[in-house]
Amino acid sequence: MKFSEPSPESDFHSQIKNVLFDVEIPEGLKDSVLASLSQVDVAALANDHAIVLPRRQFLKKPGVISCLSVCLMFCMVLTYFWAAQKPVIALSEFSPELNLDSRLLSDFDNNFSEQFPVNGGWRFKGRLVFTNKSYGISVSHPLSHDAVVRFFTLPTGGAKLIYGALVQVPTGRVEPLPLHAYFDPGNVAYTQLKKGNYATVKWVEGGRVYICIVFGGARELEAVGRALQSTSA
Amino acid sequence: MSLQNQNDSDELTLLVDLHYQLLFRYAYRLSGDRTDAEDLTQQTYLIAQKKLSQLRDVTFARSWLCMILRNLFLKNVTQKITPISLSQSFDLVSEEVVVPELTSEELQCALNDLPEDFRIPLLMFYFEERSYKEISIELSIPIGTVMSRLARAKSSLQGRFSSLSEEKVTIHF
Repeated sequence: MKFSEPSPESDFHSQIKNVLFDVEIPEGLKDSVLASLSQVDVAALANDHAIVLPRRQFLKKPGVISCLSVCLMFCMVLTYFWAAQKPVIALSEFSPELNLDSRLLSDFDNNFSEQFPVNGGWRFKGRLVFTNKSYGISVSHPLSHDAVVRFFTLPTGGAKLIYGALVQVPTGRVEPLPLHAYFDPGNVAYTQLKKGNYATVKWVEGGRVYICIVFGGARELEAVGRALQSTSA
Repeated sequence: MSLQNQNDSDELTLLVDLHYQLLFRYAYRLSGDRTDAEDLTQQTYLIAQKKLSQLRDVTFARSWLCMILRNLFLKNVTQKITPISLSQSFDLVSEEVVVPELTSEELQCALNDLPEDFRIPLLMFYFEERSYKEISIELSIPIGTVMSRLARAKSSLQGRFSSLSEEKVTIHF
């Protein structure tokens, strides 16, 4: 079916149009419309004055201005801290699956202080040889570091070295926190990946969560544990 | 009263002078009730008074006022509209009862019987002098739908007042 706009020439169209407009207008409609408009006009004017005057008085009070400024500042500070708050990362994210290769990591941006664990022989120079540089690890955001890592080696006699990494994250950034408060080689998780085997020990200590990842298996981890014990003793 | 207010008041008075009759007629055809039509006309001008600054060109005053009135009407009747079954069909040709003359009252009865979806575009076409495209934009429906609804509405009226038209059509809503 083809539809076309009603043709003005069409009789029916003209008659419909004529009859549509054939509506008797109530007497006094125009006057009542004008009267209602004028009433609103007067009321609106009165309201305008009522609104403007208190607003001016309100703004002239210095106490009110100070209070408003303080509130505004407080809101801005809250907003800043809210925006600056970094997301919490799952503890499981810190695992050997992280690509811990110093060639691929950038220098740590020092957005928190790096500190070695107090318990054990981590802070003493001994058999474990740490790299001089710290590297940053980004998990939640590519532009900021969530964790810092130091790589270490442990000579085992001959030319063989055990490699490992000590990762640390502020406790506020991780959940759930590890249950142990010191390096315990007995509380270990072993991981087998294409690139090799890993032994991971996690603990919380002094406001930091530590993740020690040893490149190898139980034997390598045991060697690291022994080295730490001998150093602390 | 400030100069601006005085100007607004004069402009409003002019708008009432020019369009109050058209608005009342449009309101009556939409609502089918004279009291409702008076209320709609009043309310339309009250809204126009508040939003007068939106009217940039007085030549568009007619369609602007009609649009306010239509929106007011649609707002009021939204809850009253009963959904139309798509499978429902009306065979106007079979209604071979007494064919009324095309009087204003009978036309209103015929309009009242038209579903809202068909009556509004028809009245927009006649009262607001809107094109298919404008109706399509205003009601947010495809232009093809506007065309078919107008054609069906017109056919419905033609069927009802078949004494004025030889064409008889079966309408399926």
